[in-house]
Amino acid sequence: MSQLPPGRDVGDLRLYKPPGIGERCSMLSKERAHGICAQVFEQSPTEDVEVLLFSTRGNSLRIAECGPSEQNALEEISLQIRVVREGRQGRARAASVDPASTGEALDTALKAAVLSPPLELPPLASKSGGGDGGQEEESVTALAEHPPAEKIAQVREYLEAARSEGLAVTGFYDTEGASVTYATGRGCFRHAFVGKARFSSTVIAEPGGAGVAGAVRQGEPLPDDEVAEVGRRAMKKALDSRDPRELEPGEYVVLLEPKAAGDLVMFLAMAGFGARGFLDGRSFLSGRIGTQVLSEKLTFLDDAGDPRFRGLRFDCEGQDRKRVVLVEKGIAKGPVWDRPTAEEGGTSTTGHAGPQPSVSGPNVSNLILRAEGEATKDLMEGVERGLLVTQFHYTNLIDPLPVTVTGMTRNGTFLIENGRITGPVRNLRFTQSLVETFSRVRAVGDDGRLVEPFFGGSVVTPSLLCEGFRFTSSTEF
Amino acid sequence: MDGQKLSPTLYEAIARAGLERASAMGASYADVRIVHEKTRILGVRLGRIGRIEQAETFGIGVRVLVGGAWGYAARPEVEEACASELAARAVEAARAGSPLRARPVDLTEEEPARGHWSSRWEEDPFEISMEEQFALLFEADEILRKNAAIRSTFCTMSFLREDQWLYTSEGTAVSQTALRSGAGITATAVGEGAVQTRSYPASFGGQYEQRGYELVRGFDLPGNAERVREEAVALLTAPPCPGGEFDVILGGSQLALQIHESVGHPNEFDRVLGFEADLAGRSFVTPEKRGSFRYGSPIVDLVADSTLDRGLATIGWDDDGVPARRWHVVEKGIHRNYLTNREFAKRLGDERSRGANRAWGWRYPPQIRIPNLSLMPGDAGTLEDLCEDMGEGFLLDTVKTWSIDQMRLNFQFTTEIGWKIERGKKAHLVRNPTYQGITPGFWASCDAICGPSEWIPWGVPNCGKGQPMQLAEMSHGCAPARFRGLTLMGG
Repeated sequence: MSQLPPGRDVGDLRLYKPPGIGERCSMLSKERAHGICAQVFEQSPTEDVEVLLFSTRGNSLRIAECGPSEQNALEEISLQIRVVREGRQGRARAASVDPASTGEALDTALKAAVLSPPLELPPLASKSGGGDGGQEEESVTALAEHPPAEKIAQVREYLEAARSEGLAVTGFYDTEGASVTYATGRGCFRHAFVGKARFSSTVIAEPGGAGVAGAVRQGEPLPDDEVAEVGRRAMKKALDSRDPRELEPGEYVVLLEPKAAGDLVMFLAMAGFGARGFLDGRSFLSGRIGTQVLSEKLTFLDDAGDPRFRGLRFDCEGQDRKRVVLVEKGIAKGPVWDRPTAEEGGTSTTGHAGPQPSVSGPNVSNLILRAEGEATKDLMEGVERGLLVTQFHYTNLIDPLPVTVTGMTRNGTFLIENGRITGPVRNLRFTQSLVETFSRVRAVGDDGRLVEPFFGGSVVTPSLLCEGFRFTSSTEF
Repeated sequence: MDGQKLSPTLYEAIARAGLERASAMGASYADVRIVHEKTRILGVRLGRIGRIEQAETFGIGVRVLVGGAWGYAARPEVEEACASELAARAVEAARAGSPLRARPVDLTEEEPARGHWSSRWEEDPFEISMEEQFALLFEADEILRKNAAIRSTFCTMSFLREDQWLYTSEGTAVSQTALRSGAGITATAVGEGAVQTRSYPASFGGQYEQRGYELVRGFDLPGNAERVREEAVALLTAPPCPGGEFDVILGGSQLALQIHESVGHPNEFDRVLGFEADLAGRSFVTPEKRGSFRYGSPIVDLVADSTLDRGLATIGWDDDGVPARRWHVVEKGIHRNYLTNREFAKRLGDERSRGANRAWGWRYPPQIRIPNLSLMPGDAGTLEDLCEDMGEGFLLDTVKTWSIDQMRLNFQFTTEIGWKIERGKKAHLVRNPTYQGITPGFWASCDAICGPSEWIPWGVPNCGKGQPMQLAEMSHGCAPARFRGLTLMGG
C-alpha cells in the first residue's frame, strides 16, 4: 500500500523557515529542476544519461479515539540517474541534489554500467514530446503546504459529534504536492506538478457495527463540506451495520459500491493490462485481442487527461502517455506498452513505462471503468436476494489467468431482499475469478468516482451489480 | 562507524539544535533520529538485466510531544538549522491537535541509554563487485531457462545497510548499524491453460537475514535452479489439490507468514486498541485475553526476540531508546504478552515497554512493529521424520498468496507447491493448494513441530503498516509443523 496527498494557505509553516533553509527540499519549480538536471549533465562524461527527479512536500493527520494520534510532515527529494555506456546500463540514486551528491551518484551509475553485462534498450529520448500534463503549480503548492491546523478545524465537528454518540473514529487525512521531472543528456526535458488530497475514516459502532467513507481529489484541496460529508456517511454506515447476523457462504448477487469495485478493478488491471504479462501469456488478454472477454457493459481505459486525474502526460522513458482503450464494450483491445515491450511485440509504446530496466514492465496509471449505466439508486430494485458490499479487505491474487482472487468484506455488508436492504450481515470471505465476475455484470451505476483500493493507487469506477459472486467462508464478526 | 557521513560531534550538535528548539517551544518530550540508508538491488530476467539500482538516503526526523499530542517532521537535510525548523513544524502541528485528543499521551519510564550497537557480518556485500554478483544471477537464470515452458524468470539479490543515530530530550544518545542481505530465484511456467511459479529459497525475493554476502554464497542459487525449473513445469500438469479436511505439514517459509499474519499483527497493542482500524484493521486478541486465552495447543511457544542472531529486526535499542528484549507472546499455547512501545505499554498498564517501536528510515515516526517473532522448535525431528509420522496427508510450502480478515481471524493462504504424502513419503505434486481457517483453531490443531535442525529465521523484508504506509523488516524463526484436520479448498 502507498500514496500521496493535498491543502491550502500555509502561512504559519513559513514562519519557521529560516532564510535559505527548506528551499532545497520544497517542491521543485521547472527552473530549479532544470538547473539540477543541467548540473548532472555537466558532470556526466556522456550524453547518454537520464535523470528522474521527484520532489514532494506534504503533511498528514491520523485519527484514533476521535482525536489526532499522529501528525506528520515530510519533505523529500529523490534523484535517480541512469547512464548507458556501450550498451551497458547503470542506475543509482543520490542522497541529495547538491553537486557532491549528484556527482557521487553519477560515479556509482557509471561504475555499475562498466561492471554490468550488456543490455540493449531503446536509446534515451532526445525530444520533449507534447504537453507534460499534471496540475497548476499554485494549486499543487497549496496542497503541499496545507496547514495542519486547518485539517484539525475541518474534522473537529465530526469528531466531537462521533464522541458524543459513543462512536470510535479512526481516519487519515493527508495532503501532498509533488513535482516530477524526466530529462536526458540528449535533450529531452519534461516536468509537471501533481498533488492530491484525501480523507478516509472508519467508524466503529458497538455492537458489531463498522462503517467507512472517503474522499479524494487530484490537484485541489477537499472543501469543508466534503470532509464533513465523509464523516456523516461513515457514521451512518457504522450505525446501520450494528448487530449483524450470520449468513451462509454461497453464491450471491452483489451490489459493489465504488470502493469495493475499485479493489477488483485494480486486481484485474495488475493481472491483465500490462504488456509484460500479455507477452508472457500470463494475462487474460493474451491471445484474445478482438474477442469478447468481459461483459459488453464494461469499457476500461487509461487516460491521464481525464479531469478526475489530470495526471502526468509523460512516462519514465520521457514518452507521451497516450489515452489507451484496454477493453471496449467487453472486447479486448490491448494492454499498455513501454518501449522495450513494444519492440518485442512489434508495436509502439503507449507511454506507460516505469524506470528502466524494468522486470514487471509497463502498467496502467490512470485507470477508468467507464460508467454508462443506470441510476445507482435503482440498481437494487431487481435484486431478489443479494449483498451490498461497502469495502473489501486484503484482497490478493491466487491465479493470474482467470484473475482468481480472495478477500474479505468489511465495514458494512448488508443483505438485500426483494429490492431493498433488510439488515447487516457478518463479514464473508470470497474466492472468485474476476474475469468471470466482470463477465456477469447485470448493471453499472452512474456514480463513477475516484477511489483508492486497499493496496494503493487510484481508479475511477462506478457501483457494479454482478451475479454469481462466490463467498467461500465466514468469520466471527 | 564506517557509515559516518558526518563527524560524531556534529551529529550531536545537530540533534541538540532540534531538541533545544522543541523544548523551548513547550515540548515535554522530543527525539531526533538521523538515518543513513544504503541499498543495492540487482535482478536478472530471462537472460537480461531486470534491475540495477544503488541508492542512498540521508535524512533527519524530529518527534515531539506537546500537550499530550505527537508531532513529527522530517527532511533529507541533516543540518542544525534544519533540525531546529523541523522541531518547530512538529511542535506547531502537535499543538494544533492537542485539544482534540481524548487523553494525553503518557510514556513509561526508561533509563537514558548511551552506546553503539552493530549487527555482524563476514563479507560486506557493497565491497563485492556487481560484476561478480551479476555473474551468479546470470548463471542461475540460464539454468532456469532451459525448458521452453518457462516464460518468465527472476533472479535477484539485495542489500541494505542502515546507520542510525538517536538522541532524546531524556538523555539517550545511541547509534546503531544493521546490514542485511537477501537473494532468491523464481521461474514461471505457462502452458496447459495454467501459470505456475516456483521459487527458492523463498518467494517474493528469496530469503533475507541480517548477515553479509556470505548468506548469498550459502544459498547455491545455480545448484537449486534445475529443481526449481522442473517443479514449475511439473506443476502445470499436476492434479489439483483436493478439497476437504486433511492433516497438513506446513513448510518453514509458509509457516513464517502464518506467524506474521495471525500472531504478529494481532498482538500489536496499538492495533488492539483500534488505532489501525482505518486501514489495516483491529484485532481479536482483546486486552482481557492476556494471561488466559488459549491461542494454540500446549506445544505452541511463540517468542518475540529483538536480540535474535541473524534476525532482520535485531537491534540494540528501539526508536524509543528501549534496549532490545526477548519475551513470550504465547507460552505453552496461552497468550501472555503484547508488542508495545512506551506509549502503549503505559496504556496496557505495564511498567516497561517491550521495545517494539521502529520507524521506516527517517521519513516517518516510529510505531509498534512486529519484532523477530518465532515458533520455538519442537521434538518431531526432521521434516522427513514428520512426514513418516504423519503417514497420510499433505505437505505445503512456499508463499504464493495470502489474505486475512481485519480482526486477524479468518485467513486463506495459497502455497506455490504441495505434495500428497502417502505412507510417510512424498507421493506426487498437487497444484494450487489453498488452505483456510480461523486463527485460534488453526494453532490449536498444531500437534507436532520439527526440531532445531530444521529451524530457520525466515525473513520478511516488506511488512506494511500505518498511514502513511511504512515498511519494516523482521524474521520469523520456525521449523515445519503439522496441523490436524486443516481445511483445504481444492486447487
